[in-house]
Amino acid sequence: MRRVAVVGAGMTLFRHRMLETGKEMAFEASRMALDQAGLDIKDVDSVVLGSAPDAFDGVHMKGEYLLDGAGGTRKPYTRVFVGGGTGVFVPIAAWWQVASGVADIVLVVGEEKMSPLLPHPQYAFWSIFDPILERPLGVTLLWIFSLEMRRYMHVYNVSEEDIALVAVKNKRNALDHPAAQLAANITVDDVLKSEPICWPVKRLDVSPTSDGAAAVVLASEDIARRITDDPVWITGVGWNVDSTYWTNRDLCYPEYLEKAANMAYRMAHISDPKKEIDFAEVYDPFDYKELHHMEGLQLARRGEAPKLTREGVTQRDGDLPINPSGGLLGVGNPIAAAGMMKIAEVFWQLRGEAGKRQVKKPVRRGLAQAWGDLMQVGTVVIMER
Amino acid sequence: MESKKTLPGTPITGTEWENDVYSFRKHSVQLRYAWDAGSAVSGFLEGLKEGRILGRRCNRCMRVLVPPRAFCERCFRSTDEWVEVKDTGKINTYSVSYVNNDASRRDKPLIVAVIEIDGASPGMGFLHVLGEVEPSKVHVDMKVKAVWKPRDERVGAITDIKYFKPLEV
Amino acid sequence: MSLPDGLRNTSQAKNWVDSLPLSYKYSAGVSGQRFAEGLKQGKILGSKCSKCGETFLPPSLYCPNCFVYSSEYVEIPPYGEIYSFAEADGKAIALIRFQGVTGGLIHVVKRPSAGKLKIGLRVSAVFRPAEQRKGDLTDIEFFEIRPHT
Repeated sequence: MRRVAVVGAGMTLFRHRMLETGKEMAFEASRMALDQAGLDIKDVDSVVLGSAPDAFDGVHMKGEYLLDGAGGTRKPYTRVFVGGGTGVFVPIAAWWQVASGVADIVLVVGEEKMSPLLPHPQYAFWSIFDPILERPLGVTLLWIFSLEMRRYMHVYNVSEEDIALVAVKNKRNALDHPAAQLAANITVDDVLKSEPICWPVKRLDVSPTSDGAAAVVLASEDIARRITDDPVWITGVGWNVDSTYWTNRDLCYPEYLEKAANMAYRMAHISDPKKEIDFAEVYDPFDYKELHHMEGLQLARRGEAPKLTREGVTQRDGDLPINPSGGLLGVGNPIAAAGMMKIAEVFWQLRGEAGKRQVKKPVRRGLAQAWGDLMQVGTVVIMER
Repeated sequence: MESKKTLPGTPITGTEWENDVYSFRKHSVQLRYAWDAGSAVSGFLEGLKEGRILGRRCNRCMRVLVPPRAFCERCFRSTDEWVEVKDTGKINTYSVSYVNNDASRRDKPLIVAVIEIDGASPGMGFLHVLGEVEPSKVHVDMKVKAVWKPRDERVGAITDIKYFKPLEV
Repeated sequence: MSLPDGLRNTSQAKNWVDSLPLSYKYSAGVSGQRFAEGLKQGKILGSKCSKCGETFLPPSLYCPNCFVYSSEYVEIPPYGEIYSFAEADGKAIALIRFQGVTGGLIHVVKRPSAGKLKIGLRVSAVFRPAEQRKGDLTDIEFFEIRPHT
């Protein structure tokens, strides 16, 4: 297997609604990534694109629709989709093309345009529930997250205040992110007083829906060394999917994420992630998810993530910075692009290019993780300098 | 990245969206489906019509699966027999919903729960709603019982159970 | 699998009927917005790429060949040629190409009073009066056959 490096990254603003079509957003992010890598579209051997349900944009065969905006015309082109896990799965699907020797340079794009669906993008998720056994109950997407949050809180005795600390941290971190949609200086009290949507989920516990795109360029080792003095190596990848029988699982712990993480740790020769991972971008569409995922990633023992947060360990100047970008809570959540934003952030942090977001400690190894579908997908990428 | 002062993208404000400042095109579709229930869920719905909750057992892992399925997803083989389980259970997790699926606010909050059914394997639950209880009184592990529609109103649907209510001990 | 008592035969297997209503509001995009504004002004706009020199219709934010930002929007004279056509819903629909331009427009062609439609016939766009234009392709009412010169 060949070594694979990330050699460039780019992204658009993340906003609730953008004028750009999906193709245009994909282009804007891709062009920026290619420019950072000093490459022309002719140099790209293959393109992999990730984007979530076609229902958001209301276009059929969304992958094919986005093709020319992602530079994929008349190239080997693949669209992948694993719900919210897509943004970290799409670089994995590109990684194996380079690692196997099938391609030397791959453009990786995550794009999402959620704004066209009326009255609210959440509406498309009606179809995530079983049409016979669940939809007739009058379901709403948020039920599944609030049910998971409640279970996690119950089993590990976690309070709403503990969870709110994550929203406060991430929205504040996002003040330094140029793409950020919902950066703000808020307090735990603001979160607790925000209106309950599907209790225990309240308005400030949730990330927004967004339009946006992000892209990276992957290259094989010898090409990476020619393009840049500072390649960032992908040293571990992992992915895992659990069943859609979500009511038969204990939602307090993401077992599938543990398996995905272990797959990546094995590949990267990591035996003690808490010590060997310097910082992580962990999927946070809700504040409780950051805690849930830290534990699945074994960056904290089960039930221990709230304590690390309270103690400031996960702040930018802490021992294990989590979501220095500001995460989905602060930057925004255009589903497939959000995971890619995390990949880009790990890349920029490792190269010391994260500006005011740069974590205090010197970093050599970072992790990006995403999650999705019916609370069943775990995707993990480990990068090193 | 820091050399870029602003990232590409042209945001549209809420006001611009509402007032159609840009060129927009509206389109609505109604997708209609007839989903096949499959053999297992057909049996489950038939059971609900009769006022019973049915599961399927896999004789290799010995799990009693609710909702029933034609194959065990762990052993990856067909399930072996029907098992009637109880219509009581306990709450695994619950939530109080204040919104509809179009994000508009509900008139009255709806309590939704995953209920682990007695007689099925541990952790085997399904999604349903709670009734005859105040949100503040609900807790994880609370024992509940199904409240059924009258026989002549049951059609073979998950809504043949109106809701689950607390079981007085 | 065996059916439970009560389900005597497979014709009792059930299906569940329901619908998913979906409503959309599509934005035109950055280049689509310019195109729409051009139509409202009675113009057909394309985009030009200074790297490969090609002009594209409809206009695009980026050059599909070179994958760089387009350099400018250009006005395309409203005279084209039928590349292909078909009958649909009692109308003649054509793909119309324009000289020196990559791409084209799909639109309605007004049937000639004499003779038949043919590939290669020259056509010109007939715009609606300015006050009737909304900023979409229907601002062109139809394409009509140009008289022989």
